Amino acid sequence: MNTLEIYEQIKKNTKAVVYFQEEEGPTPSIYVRSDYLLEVMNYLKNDDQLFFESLMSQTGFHETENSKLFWHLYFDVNIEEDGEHSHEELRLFWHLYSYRQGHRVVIESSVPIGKPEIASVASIWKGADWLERETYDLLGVKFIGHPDLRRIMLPPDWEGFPLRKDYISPLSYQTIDNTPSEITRSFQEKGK
Amino acid sequence: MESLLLGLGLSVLSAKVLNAIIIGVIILLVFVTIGGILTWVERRVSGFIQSRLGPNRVGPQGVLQWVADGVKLIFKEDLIPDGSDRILFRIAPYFCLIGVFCTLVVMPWGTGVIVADLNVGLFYFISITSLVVIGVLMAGWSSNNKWSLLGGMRAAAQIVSYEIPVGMGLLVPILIAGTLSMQGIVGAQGWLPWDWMLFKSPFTVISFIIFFIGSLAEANRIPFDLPEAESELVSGYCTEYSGFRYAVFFLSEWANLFVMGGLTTVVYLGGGNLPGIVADNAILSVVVFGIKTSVVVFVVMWIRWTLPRFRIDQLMKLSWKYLLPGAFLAFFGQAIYMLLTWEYQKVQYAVAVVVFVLFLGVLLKFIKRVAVNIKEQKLPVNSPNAPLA
Amino acid sequence: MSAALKTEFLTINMGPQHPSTHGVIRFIIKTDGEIIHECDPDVGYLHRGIEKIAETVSWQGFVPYTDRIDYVCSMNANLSYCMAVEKLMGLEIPERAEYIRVIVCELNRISSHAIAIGAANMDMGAFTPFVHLLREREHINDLLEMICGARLTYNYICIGGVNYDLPVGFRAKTEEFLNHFEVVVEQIHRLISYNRIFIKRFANVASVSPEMAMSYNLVGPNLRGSGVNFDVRKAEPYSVYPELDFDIPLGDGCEGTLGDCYDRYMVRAKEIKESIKIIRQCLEKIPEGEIKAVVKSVIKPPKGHVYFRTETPRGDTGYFIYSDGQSSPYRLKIRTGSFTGMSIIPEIAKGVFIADLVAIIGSLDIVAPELDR
Repeated sequence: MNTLEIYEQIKKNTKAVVYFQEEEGPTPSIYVRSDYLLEVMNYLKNDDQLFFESLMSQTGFHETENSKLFWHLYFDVNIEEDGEHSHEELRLFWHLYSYRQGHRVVIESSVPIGKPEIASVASIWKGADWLERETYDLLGVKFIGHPDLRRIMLPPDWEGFPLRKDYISPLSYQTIDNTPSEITRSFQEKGK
Repeated sequence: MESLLLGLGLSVLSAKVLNAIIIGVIILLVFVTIGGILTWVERRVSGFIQSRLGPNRVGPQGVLQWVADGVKLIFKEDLIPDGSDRILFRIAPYFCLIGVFCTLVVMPWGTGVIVADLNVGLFYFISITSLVVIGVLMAGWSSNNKWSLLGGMRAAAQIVSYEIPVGMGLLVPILIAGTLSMQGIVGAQGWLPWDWMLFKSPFTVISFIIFFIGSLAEANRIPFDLPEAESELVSGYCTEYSGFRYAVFFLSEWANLFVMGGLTTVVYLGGGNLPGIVADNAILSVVVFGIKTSVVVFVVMWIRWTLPRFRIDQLMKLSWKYLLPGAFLAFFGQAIYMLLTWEYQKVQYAVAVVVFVLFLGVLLKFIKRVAVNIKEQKLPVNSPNAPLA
Repeated sequence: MSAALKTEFLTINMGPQHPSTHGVIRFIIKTDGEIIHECDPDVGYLHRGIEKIAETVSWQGFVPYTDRIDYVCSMNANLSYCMAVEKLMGLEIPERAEYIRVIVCELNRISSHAIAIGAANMDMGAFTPFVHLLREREHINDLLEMICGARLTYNYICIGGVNYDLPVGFRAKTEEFLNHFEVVVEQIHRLISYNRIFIKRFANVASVSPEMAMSYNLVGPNLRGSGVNFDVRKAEPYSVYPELDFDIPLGDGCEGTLGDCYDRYMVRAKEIKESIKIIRQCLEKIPEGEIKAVVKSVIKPPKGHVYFRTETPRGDTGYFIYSDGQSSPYRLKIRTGSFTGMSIIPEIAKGVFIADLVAIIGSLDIVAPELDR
């Protein structure tokens, strides 16, 4: 089945707010509003025709441009306006694959940067455990319902989320001095 | 030696004491040299098996490598970990040293060449090597390191468990020879292969195998080196040791190898026995003993670099469930066999010759298999004789 | 009588430094002396922030970084990234370049599996097979040095094709090597893989059922060791794999249960033979032609995202690339096989001996730089 058919199935069998997204790149994806994520994922795992047994990858990035595409879907959810960051969001992607049927699908969602929380699928696929921990560690997305959400790559007392676009490296960590040297600063100036 | 000292006019007591001290120093030097040379041998043999060179720079063919290592270890900083039990930490290596070094006293280096021919020689031998357990446990405990503790406890369990197959494996030769004295056991064998204790009956072959496996475990060699060179423990109970204390552990382990090889030779392979014409030649006897021990030591090293190691529960199961019943079987079998053929010495002789011939057959088969491996290997690429593209 | 003794589990730390070739990983183990009750891996010692670096370098400039993600099989890592970008750009690669890519990737697969087998053996205490396999790996390094000048991190496969052509005499030397290596692999198997002690250490240890493997998203030989017949080269073929004829070895529980460490180990051992078959076919079929498509010096793929995966020796490496039309990626995520392999360890290491934990890590073939990126 290709993505369009899967999208039709999801629309038919669940109450989720979904959107078929094909303007970006060679692969179309299905955008699910963040509060319906768990329902859609459960349906995708357990339905006989779809039967996605494995979550290949879970990732995300920080979208800083004005993403009107998905913002209108947020008006239903109660989020405080975050001032100048209110249009920024963290876009999340789940790539699923079915061994039995041989098809794959890309599920997308996004959370606003002021309140980056979304349901965890670790109860559905066990492999999501570490993938979500990595997304939490590097991007700062909190997964509700995750059994053990803590940092995985970075030390537990690190501050900040590196993969965000506004991340600045800390100048010192536990008495290690990290102020950039003259040469590094000259490169950083040039890059800007 | 003692008479020499008495002749110099010393009193009997001081002659005895001086005699003991001098002999002890000589044996210590012998022990250190043997331990050192064996490390060099091991490294060259392992390089040969792994198709690489071993150490070959220091001295001709690298024979002085162990001297260089010893000098380096002496110059290292003497660390005692913080929080460790200082007294136990300091004396632990010496228990291992004593356990191994004292066995050299009863080792019959050749016919008539023995320091002290105790009439309970073999019994003394086995009991003294048990001191190693105490040394290992003390080292593991006093290091203040959880991994060393685990290694030490595993080593203690292993060595204590395998004492029994070793002891049982030695009962059969004692049965045949009728004495515990080392010279006596050597004397009960002859110089011909079918006069060796090993081939005297099928039961001695079984008992030799059990004894050999047990002595591998006693010496902490692969496949039984779980206590020391694991991938988790850096070196088990001696992780925290550095400098000369580590050299003491090191030397005692390699000398233990030699001691076990020597014991095997003496008890099973007719160590030092010579044909009738040259029967009293001490030097030749020592040479023969040395050759036989070297062969056994080489086989032990060969096994080390070929096989993987056992896990602790498999190790324990092997000892208690397989080796121990096998040793009992061999002992009772040999006793019944000896009872049945007490009158008929010729039958015993014939059985020994048959067992030896069967062993030769197995050896031939083994050599043929090795030849197949060598023939199969084609010319390696990038060698000077390889055809150009 | 005294009250019941209060006991607690011993918490030990199998630290970042340990004498094993798998890299810098740390386990916090709760044990009662021998049996593990809880095992918590602590990763991130080799986290270099490669994904963040990707956002600042150009598209072609990121290729040397992919070498260092998994330096044991650099060519495969290069290939994954380049093919993902080519899919995003919709670029066509000349056929000769595709064949060359497959040849070098399979050569690298052989050397990577040789290291995996050797390291698994070395953890068990058999040092000799590792040294022998390293000697054979030197021949592969020599072959690859003939092509691109480097022995470990090649930077050879680029976006659009490969950087240099095969030199004169490469085909003869490769065939000579393959003939020689087949014999050596069989000898090493006779030495160690059918050895009773080795089988006792590996069989029936930490078996992973097919459902658990799929749920935890194990990939590559780990998945095939559990009996799941899935290989990216056959299921979602890329490059010239549809035209090549090879089998996929599966684990079958021949010495113990299905999906135990021995199955995973034997899948890797059998895959070496399949790779030799593939290389021979490629050397026959390789056409003449160009080795690089015409690509602009500053490439700017159109806006969009792609998830592309290829079969590397450690499983499938999936690249998620999101580009916004600029000259460097906006987001690049690498999902490697070692990451998922590591995530299953807390589950399967319960109730095994500490010595078995070493066997598990060896059989899952975890390489730390790939785990942490």
